Amino acid sequence: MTVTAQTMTHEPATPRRRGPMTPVEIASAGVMSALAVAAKVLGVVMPAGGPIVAALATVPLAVVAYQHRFRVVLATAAATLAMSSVMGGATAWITGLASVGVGVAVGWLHRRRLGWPAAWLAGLVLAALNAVQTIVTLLVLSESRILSLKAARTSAEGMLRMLERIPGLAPTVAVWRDVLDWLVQHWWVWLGSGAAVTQLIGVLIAYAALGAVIRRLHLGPVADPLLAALESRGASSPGPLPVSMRGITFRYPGSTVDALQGVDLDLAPGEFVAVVGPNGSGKSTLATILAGAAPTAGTVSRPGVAGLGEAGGTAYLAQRTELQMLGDTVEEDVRWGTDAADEVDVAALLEAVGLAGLERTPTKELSGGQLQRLALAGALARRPALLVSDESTAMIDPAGRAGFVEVMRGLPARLGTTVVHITHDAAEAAGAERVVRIVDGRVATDAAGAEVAARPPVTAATRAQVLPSNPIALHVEGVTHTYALGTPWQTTALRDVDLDVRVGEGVLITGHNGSGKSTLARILAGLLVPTYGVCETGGKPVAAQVGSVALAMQFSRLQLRRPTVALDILDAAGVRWRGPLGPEQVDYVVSVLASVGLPPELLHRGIDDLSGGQMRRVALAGLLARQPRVLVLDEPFAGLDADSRAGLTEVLRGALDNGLALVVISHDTEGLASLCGRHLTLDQGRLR
Amino acid sequence: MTPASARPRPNLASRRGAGMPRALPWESPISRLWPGTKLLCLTALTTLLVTRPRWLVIGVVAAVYLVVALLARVPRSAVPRVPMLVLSMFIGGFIGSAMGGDIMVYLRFTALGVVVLLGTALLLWTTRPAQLVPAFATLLRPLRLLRVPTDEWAATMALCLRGIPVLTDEVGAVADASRLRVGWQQRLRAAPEQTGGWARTRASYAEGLDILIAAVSASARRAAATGRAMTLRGGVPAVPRERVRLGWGDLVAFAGTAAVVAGALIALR
Repeated sequence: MTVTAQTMTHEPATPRRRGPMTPVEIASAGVMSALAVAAKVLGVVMPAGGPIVAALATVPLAVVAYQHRFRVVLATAAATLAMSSVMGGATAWITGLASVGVGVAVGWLHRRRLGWPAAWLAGLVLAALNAVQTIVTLLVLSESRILSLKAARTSAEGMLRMLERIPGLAPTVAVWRDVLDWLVQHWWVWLGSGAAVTQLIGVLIAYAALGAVIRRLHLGPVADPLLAALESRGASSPGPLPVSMRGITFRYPGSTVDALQGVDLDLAPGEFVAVVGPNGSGKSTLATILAGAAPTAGTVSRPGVAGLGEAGGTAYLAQRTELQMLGDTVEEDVRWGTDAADEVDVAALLEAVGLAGLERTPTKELSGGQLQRLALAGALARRPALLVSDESTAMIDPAGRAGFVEVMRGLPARLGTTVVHITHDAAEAAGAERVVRIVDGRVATDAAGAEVAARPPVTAATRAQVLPSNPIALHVEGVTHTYALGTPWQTTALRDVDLDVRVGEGVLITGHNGSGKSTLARILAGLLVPTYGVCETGGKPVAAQVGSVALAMQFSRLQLRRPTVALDILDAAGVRWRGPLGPEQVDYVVSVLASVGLPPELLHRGIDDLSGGQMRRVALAGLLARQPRVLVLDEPFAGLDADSRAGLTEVLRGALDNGLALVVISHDTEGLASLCGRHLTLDQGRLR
Repeated sequence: MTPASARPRPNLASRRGAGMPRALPWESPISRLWPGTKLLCLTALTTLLVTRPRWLVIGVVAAVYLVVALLARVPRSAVPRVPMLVLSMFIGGFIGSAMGGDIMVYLRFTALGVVVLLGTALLLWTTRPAQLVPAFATLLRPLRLLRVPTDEWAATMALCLRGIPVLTDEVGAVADASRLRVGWQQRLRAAPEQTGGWARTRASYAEGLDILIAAVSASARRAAATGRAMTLRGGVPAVPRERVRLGWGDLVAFAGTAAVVAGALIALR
């Protein structure tokens, strides 16, 4: 279920908000300023020239100015300026203020839907301001200005004297000398106009770029149905149960169909209720109503308010675990948002969810299943009366899933908490006291749980060893990689790694975060030249033929560059297509999509309208379209539900049979035995 | 591990030396100063340098910075490698000014630039970014009298700081993905279709735009998810607060800076 996609409205029509920044606003400000700083720190490794990069670096701020009110823009600007000076030194300040002006102006222009004439006007005004600012600064710093002009004048004078000796050039040199003198005397003319022109170009490029961003990403104010419920926090005392819902109908803003139609439901304290139904049936919408969102029609009666996130109120667990963690360590995350005065027994909470003793573990080292347990511990810290789990098990591997459901099932008896567990896996509903089935936005059945036959375990045969006679596709020998070699920050990520992958062979490499996995992936793909050792395919270093080893990244969105599926697949195959597609291109893209099991309807779908599983397959389709010899996959199953995993495995098995060599880098082994005959472990940079 | 001497020479790309200054992985009297002290002293000395760029000032400030560098135990290997382009520009300018007759002006100008950069580098070498956020919050507090919401700014800065490593990775991944594709395309390209300067500029703008949109898309999703997670867990993050404890070191730093600034202003009157 993609709640965010459903709840985004496409037109920027925010009601003017006042008062302190909401969490959503702070998150937006923080993340976008981090993006601006990250882009600056990396110097943005793009093949574009200076002014283009500078203009594009203002876009994150412009996005905030387009989406949010001025107070948020100001916080973003302050954070960007402060952090870029922390990361990049004082020089970042000098260009910083001018770029803040550009970002704010451009975001505002788009927000007001003002066209190019207005953009030119704003550009000219900002250009004039920048010229004045430059001249005033240089007037104030008069000694530095005179010094630098003098230094430049002297160097130029030396060059001119050399040129003067060349016969026949003397008259020309005299003219140049006059020009030089004029430039030094009238510094404000050219320095001022130079600053103005740079600023004008910056505004125009940023204006065009933000326009493209808005067209492709449907950035609008995010209308989260839970927002109203969150804003009423602390207004009255929480009392979510017992709840009685009558005739509930819900329609998302901008939608033409009801997500829920006339739903009646009662919940008592201390129940475990499973809510099942196919994708898109309205299960998640029901979850948001339970958590306190106001329905479009119908009545919800409770003794108090839902009290989302409050002590004794309602807790809500979502699907994506890696985005829910807020603390750097397990303990910090559990305590997040509770007052210091609240007595939180972290050890007992961790014990209850099966994470005993992990208080000090950094959250980024936890697996998906552990993260979801951590999110549950954070929710339980507030002793909620109602726990709503919205497909919280969808992205955990089956082993972790069973244990997690077991923990939730014990909560009613243990803490008196009512648990509503939403799932599309019938096996998880088996044995629940009560199972509510939702179909097409209506309650189809609401009955005591029957014993549903558990799904037969998937019998995936372990892939047999590949014949040693197959040729070697990828050869890695004695690879050691040290970052920042010879500096105080020297760290060795990989030590003496040897690896041979044969044609048609799959190799699984597991390891914790920080074990050198991403360094290894980048070296295998030729993006990083190892400090020592060789990494070759076809007898030549991979780094000399970047692209011959394909790399499927964990976060597929980062790999997709063009606006639509068809254009991206063509781009991946080496064709930068513009304009409408011809029948030849359509046939080609449809066949590539079919090779990864995607339907032809996705041809013209926007990249950002795809689900996570679809994105991953489109990225894979693009990689396979080039027929690479070797494919490296980084965490291919992270964040995918069971069906998507099965589909992806099928595609990869076919590719292996066609002679592809496969290296899978993952932190769990789930479902990979059928692809990889060999399993190696990466531990502190050593491969065993 | 094999001793370095027994190893073959590392490849060229790994011998680039240090990049941007960042916090040195050890403690020193300078790293134990309150970060606000360093920010204020650096601001004062930089202002003095750029408003009065005389030999006397440059020399005294350079001497102060060298003492600080010794106290912070900054090794030579931490100093960023000067890019070839900058080095050749310096040499070209030097030769020109030698012929042009006023070599001291040129040297003074160069020295000014080096000393200003050295000051910034010292701050970055001795301060972790995580220490600077609360210091910013403290230094900004007086602005609250003007009803500026500095607490929100500090919270935003803390979130920004947490996000920078992740987003640096993500922007890097986008650039990697782009390299993987461009690398492929370069091999495929039979005839260079776009050779003109304007066409190349346009192409690189389109390229940059694709990269930017991928990065903004990923960030927008992250922001939405983080905002939702924060609201579900009790709202706005706590404002990073510090208890400012000024020690002898801070006193010495303030006194030293004040002495340098006052002395320079009197001497140059």
